[in-house]
This record gives sequence, structure tokens and C-alpha cells, in this order.
Amino acid sequence: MEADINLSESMEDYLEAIYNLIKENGSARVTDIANHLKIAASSVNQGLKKLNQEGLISQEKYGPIKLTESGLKAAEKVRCKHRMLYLFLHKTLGVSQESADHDACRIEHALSEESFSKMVDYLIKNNYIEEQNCAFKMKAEKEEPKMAAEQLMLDKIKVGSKAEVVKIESKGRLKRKLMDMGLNKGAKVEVKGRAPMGDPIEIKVRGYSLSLRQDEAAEILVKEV
Amino acid sequence: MALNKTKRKNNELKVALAGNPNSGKTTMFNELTGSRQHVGNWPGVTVEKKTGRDSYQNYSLEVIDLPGTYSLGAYSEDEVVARDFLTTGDYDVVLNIINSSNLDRNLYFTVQLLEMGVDLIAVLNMADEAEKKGIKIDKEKIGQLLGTPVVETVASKGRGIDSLLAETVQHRDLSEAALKIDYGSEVEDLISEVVSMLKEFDFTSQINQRWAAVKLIEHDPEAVKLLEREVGVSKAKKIKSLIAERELKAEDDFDNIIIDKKYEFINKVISESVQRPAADQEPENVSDKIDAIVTNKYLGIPIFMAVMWGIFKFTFTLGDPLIGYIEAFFEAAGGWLGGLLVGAGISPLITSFITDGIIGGVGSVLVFIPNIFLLFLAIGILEDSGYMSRAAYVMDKVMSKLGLHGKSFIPMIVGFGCNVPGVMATRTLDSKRDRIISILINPLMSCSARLPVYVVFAGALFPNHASTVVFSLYALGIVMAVIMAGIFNKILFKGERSHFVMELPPYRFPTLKGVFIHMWEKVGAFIKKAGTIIFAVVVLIWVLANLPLGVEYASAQSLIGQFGQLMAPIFEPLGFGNWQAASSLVFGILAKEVVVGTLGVVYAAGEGGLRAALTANFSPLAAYSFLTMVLLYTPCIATLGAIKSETQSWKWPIITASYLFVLAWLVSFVIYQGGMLLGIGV
Repeated sequence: MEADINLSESMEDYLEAIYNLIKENGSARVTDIANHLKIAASSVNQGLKKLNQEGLISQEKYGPIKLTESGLKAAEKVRCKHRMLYLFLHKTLGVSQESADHDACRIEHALSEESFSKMVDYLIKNNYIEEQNCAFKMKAEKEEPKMAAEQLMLDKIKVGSKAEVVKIESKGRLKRKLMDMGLNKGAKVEVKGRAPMGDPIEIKVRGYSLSLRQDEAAEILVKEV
Repeated sequence: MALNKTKRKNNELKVALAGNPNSGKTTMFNELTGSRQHVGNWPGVTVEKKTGRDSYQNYSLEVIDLPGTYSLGAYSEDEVVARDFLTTGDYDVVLNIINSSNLDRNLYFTVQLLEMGVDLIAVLNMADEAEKKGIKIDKEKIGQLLGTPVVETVASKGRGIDSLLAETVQHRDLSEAALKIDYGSEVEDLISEVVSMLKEFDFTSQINQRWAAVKLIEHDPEAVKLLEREVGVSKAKKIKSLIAERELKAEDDFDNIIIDKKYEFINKVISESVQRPAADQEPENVSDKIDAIVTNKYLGIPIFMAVMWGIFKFTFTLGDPLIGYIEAFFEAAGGWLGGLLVGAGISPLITSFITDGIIGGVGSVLVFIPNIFLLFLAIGILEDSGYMSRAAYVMDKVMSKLGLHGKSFIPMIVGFGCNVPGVMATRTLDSKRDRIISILINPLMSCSARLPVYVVFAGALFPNHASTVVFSLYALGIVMAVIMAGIFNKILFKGERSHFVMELPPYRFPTLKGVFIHMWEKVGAFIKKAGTIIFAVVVLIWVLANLPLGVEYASAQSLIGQFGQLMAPIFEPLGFGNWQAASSLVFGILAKEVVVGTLGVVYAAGEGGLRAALTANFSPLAAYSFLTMVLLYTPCIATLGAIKSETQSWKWPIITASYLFVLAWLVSFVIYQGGMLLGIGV
């Protein structure tokens, strides 16, 4: 579905900047984005407004900017294109690392779906990329929408059911905290119960009980087992 | 590999206890050091620093109990303290206390320490619990796989302590290499490149370079800061951009890969050394059964309410008679000593200084002790039994609606008894934001010292509605607390996200020793810290009440009385612009119940006469406005002292004192002027 959204070049830059900032600092603010992209805060605000209309980001009043699920997908896609282009330029054509990175940055916005997909096929065929690479994930999602459907967020798991962690989608400190508590890829969890008012929830992971708020559980992708 | 290791005598050892929360670390500390403990604070923070001494054979051991932590990626103040000590502190050996029945998560921390190259003994504690669960651990095998000595203990029963001490004083060969986990070719290549860059840049050789490289690759902010400090920003940037560039091409984010590989390693260690019963043969889990009741959809909240009511009853029903004794004792002591001094021909001024000032002042501090003692006894039992985290779990939804955290309810409940332990109880909150907001609104919980003021006024001016008036004041305090929490949440800490990722530890029977040591620490800290501040202010107020020389104690001519006259116009729009009311409020900052006493003195009336004096001087509306002021205005010195010592800064007590005064004035103004307009109670 992310392919339906036609993003302009600067919108993609914003998304990438937000993604990187959240990853590095755990949050993205207007001033950070402005510094990151070296542009005025007022134009960032305009851009954010547009992203908000597209449903790619959400921002509470005065709060930090968050990527929505489709925003995250779009940002990951831009990043993936960047990686693929870099690999293509550097590994197959022998362009220097620096130029490859710089050029990838410019080309990524203009690359069509078709060229992207063909380029990925070429890279895969010639063993330039390993499995689990982002390109594989994107292909898999496109070809097997059923597979993706079985995966859901931890807050949707019924009490008494078991699941396996696929991915932590939180960013920054919360992500580290969750992983430090043992919620990493492959960890088996069981939802033990909910607090009287439905939130937070109690789960069993690695042999002990852990509590999480609903919105924290909503950032943990799991598959039912 | 401690960085700042100072030279010690051969037979002196500095031993650090580190491990996950709920691994029995504190029990181990108590077992090792007994009563030879010293509790202070880590420099610059309110995190408790507990040290103690022990001896074994001819060795003398200094034991340091580090705050419990799940990993070296530090989140709360506690964890930062533990991490900083472990990475740069002055110690010889770490006893890593491990909960044997929860090896997966506990070993995650152990592995991090071992990678750092720490001289470490893995202490498999709670071995009996693991046995009960049918978990069999081959400790030789674990030791071999981790490359570190392993000892089995049951700290709560004193089992295995001797062999632990014997192992502690062994001299181990520190040149032995730190644990190396294989992070896969992609990361390993990068590690060796970063290590060679670190060498080239002359990065401190006192830190294990591989460990530093791994930390940098997983974007650890502290490691980046250290690097920038050590080699300068521009060289640090070279390393950072190398890592960023590689990550762009990597199959996954590096921090994901590194954490996954750590768990992979731990799983391998466990599968080779631990036997667990098959899932269907696992003995039934008592904790889960208790949880099914305690956090039940219908029973959870009533049980919580009952427990809170129980604590409240326990603390104040048992405590109040004791307070009576303490008060009576100090009164008698003051009277007796006063008589003695006057008899010996000591000047009345000095006599008054000793009796009113010093004895009265010390007494005003010590009256809080029975309540604090009992309260922390109750809190200790709740904490050690494991109920505390369930209570936070049950209440989190309501509290987070108010912009607070599930754990904030304890300080609020406690505040109804006394704000001093209320403020102290905010220590259970991890995030600074939650903690400061809980502290700021705590004085709005109407403490028991304000009750005598309500009772006297309600009895005099609202004889038929006394209980309604008192209840309305408590309710007003809660409403204000909710409103202020919302406001502070908006203006003080914009958008900071707190989380509720919290372990719910298994239920346990608290040990008497543990609870008593816990309680004693809290009470001792209160006497020491708050005591000094309160004492100083009490003396200051006594001086002001006696100056200029020769005036009657606390009369209109004394500095306090003059101050009251000066302040009186401020209270004019609130309906009580007389110097007596103003002075009583000034004295009320000493302790809220003093308001009644002061009014008695300044109206020169006894208890019975005071009612008449109040009826003559206050309209019902003015009285209600005055009570609102007493409820909301600047908290007592003891509370402000506690806020100062808990926040380690003068900023927060000053903010609390001033915002509450302004709030009290505004609300009283609205009540009085609104009442006047409507013609109620005039």
C-alpha cells in the first residue's frame, strides 16, 4: 500500500531524517529536523503538516514527532532504496564508497518501482546481498501478503495465548529497555493477564513476569504460535 | 579492570555486589555485613550508597551494594550509578548475584560484565528456589563456558556464604582475557577495524578495547561521550561515520544483531549446563495463582483499596499514641528543665531558648518518627513481598490519565498521613519527571497535622456541618492535586515519554531482618537530613519571635508579630486580614498544627476560649477561606527539608513553597469573593 503514496523528494528527505533522528536520539523534534537537513524550521513545519495529512506521522501538541505504521514503512523503503543503490554503485560498478553514498542519496528519490525491483533482482542473483536484507523483506511482503497477516502486534494477543517476538518497532531507549528485558527476536511470550482497567498487561517472557502498557505492547510485532 | 583502583594493603579487598533486581542482592549484603553497614548517598544523586564490612580469615572486606540493574545500558538514576561504578569504579572483585531460577535474563547482565573484563564471581543465589522448580544446574559447566568461578548460595538461609568468601579472597589471574562472543562476520570485521582505530587514536588502555568497540557499534550514548572526551570530537566522528556507513549496508540494525547474539550465546550456555523439567511437569506456580486474584478484573481494585486503608490505619492508629507520648515527654522535659534553669538563676531568655527553641524544635522533628517508622515498616513488607509492583500495575491506568505513573499512588496515600514520608516515598519512581511531579503535588494531600486546625474551626463555626466541611477540604486537596499534576505535566516536562516496562517479581515472604534493616535506614536518613534543616529553622523562628530584645514571646511587637502585621493586608481580600491570622499562618510553616496553638496564644485564650474568639473574629465564609489557605499554602519546614534532600537542590522546595502559596491565595480569593457576591456565610 505504501507504493500508492507518491512522495515528493523533500517529503522523503523528511521521513528519512525523522527515521534517523528517532533511531539515534529516541525522538525527533522540529529543531532537530531543521538542523539535520540544514533548512529553516518554518519550512520543516510546512513539510510536517503535509506528512501529517498523508497519515505518515503523528504529533501530539508540543510533543515529539512519531512515525505512523505506514510512515515507518515508507521511511524504511526510502532507506532500503538507499542501501540497494549504494550496493549497486559500489559493489557492481566499483564507484568509490563516498561517491556511491552521495549519489545514492540523490537517485533514491527518482528511482521507479520497476527499476528498483529489477536492480534488487540483479543484486540477489549475483549474490551481492545476503538473505534477511531489507530488499528480501520488501519482496516477501509484496509476494506473500498472507505471511504478513499472521503477524500482529502483541497488544492484540488474547490472554492465555502464546506468541513469538518478530520485531521490536519501538525506537531509542524504549527499544533498548525492551530488548534488555529479554524481548528480542525469537523470544517466546505468553500473555498472562490484564490489569483491572484493561491496561497494562502482564506477560511471561524468559521465565519471569513483565508488565507493559498497551501502547508499548503495540510496538512489538509477534507471530502466534 | 577497575579504572581508578587505589592501592590497598594486601589483605584488604573492595567487593562490589551487582545483579538484577529481585536476585537477593540486598539479602546477600545483609548476610555478609550484618549490622556493620553504612548508608549514605552516591555523590550528586539521591540513590542510596550502602557499604558494609566483613572479614574472612585474615582478610578485611569492604562490601558495596550497587543498585539492582538489568543491563549496562543505563535508564534510571539507580542504573546509571551501578553502571558508572562498574565501568570506572574502584573495586577489586564483583560478586554478580544471579537468581538461579531465572538464568536467561540474569546471565544477560553477567555476560555484559564478563565482556568488559571484570574480575567476577558468578553467585547462583536462591539455589533452593531453583531446586524446587526442578531446575538442575551444572555449575562447573557454566563456570567453564563463562570462564569465571561459580558459587551456589541461598543468602536468605546463609547457605554457601563461606565458600563464597573463600572464593572472593582467592587471587585470580587478571590477565585472563575477557569473554568474547562471536557477533558474526559482519560485526566482527567492524569490531577489529574500530579497535585498530581506537589504538591509533590512543584511546585509554584502561578499558577493554573490544568492549568499547562493541558499545560504540551498538550506539551506546555513554560510550560515544567517553570516546569524544578521550580522543576529541573530530576523531570520534571518524569512528562514528564508519559505523553508520556499515550499518546502512548491514542486514539489520547493529544493536539488534548484538543483543540477539548475546542471547544466542546465553541460550547455548544454558542448554549445555541446565536441565529443566518438561513444561507439563513444571510444579504449579504459586505467584501466578496469587496474581490471578490480586490483579483480577473485579477484585484487583478493591484489594488495592483495602491494602492502602490497612497501611494507613496501621501507621496512624498505632503511631498516634506514640506521638502523644513523645509530645508529652518533650513538654515535660521542657517544663522540668525550664524550672531547673530558672531555679539556677539562668536568664529567662536563655531558658526560653533552650526550652522553646531547642527542646521544642527537636521535639517538633521527633514527633514524626513513630509514623515514619511504622509507615516504612509497612512499605518494606509490601515491597519485599512483591505486592508493591502489583499495586502499581493495578493503578497505572488511572494514574497515567493524570500524567503520573502507576507507582505514584504510594506517595500520595502516604501524604494523607504526613507529607514528609510522602515525599520520601517518591524514591520508588524511576523517572525523574514522575518523581518531581509526585513531589510537587504531595503537599496537596491534606496531612494529619492539618486536621486539628479543621476540627477547631469547624467545631466553632460550622457546629452542625463539621464533618462535611472537613471532608470537603480533603476533596478540594485531591482536586487541586489532579489539576496541578496536569499543569506540571504540560509545562515542566514536555512530551517526555515514561514507560511501564517493569518486572513483576514472584511473591515471597519478607524476612524480619530485611524489613527492619530497610526501615531503620529510612528513619535514620530522616533524622539526619531533615533534622538538621528543621532544627536550624526552628531556632531561627524562635529568634524572630523574641526580637527585638525584651518583647513578649510571639507578641504583636516581636519580629514575627510585625511580620504578621506586614502580611495581614495580603489576606484582606481573603477575609482574614488581621495580624493574628497572618502570624498563625507564618508559624504554621513550622508545623501545620501550630496554627491552632498560635491562634490560642495571640488571642490570649485557652482551648475553650479560642472557640469564642474564633466566632467573634471570623465569619463562616472567612473561616472556610482561612481553612482553604491552611490546606493549600506553603508546606511545613519538615516537608520542604525533605524535598530539598530528596531532589538535592534548593530549586524544588522553593518552587513548591511559592506555587502553593499563590495557589492557596487564588483559591481562597475565589471562595471568599465568590461567597460575598452570592451572599453565602457572610
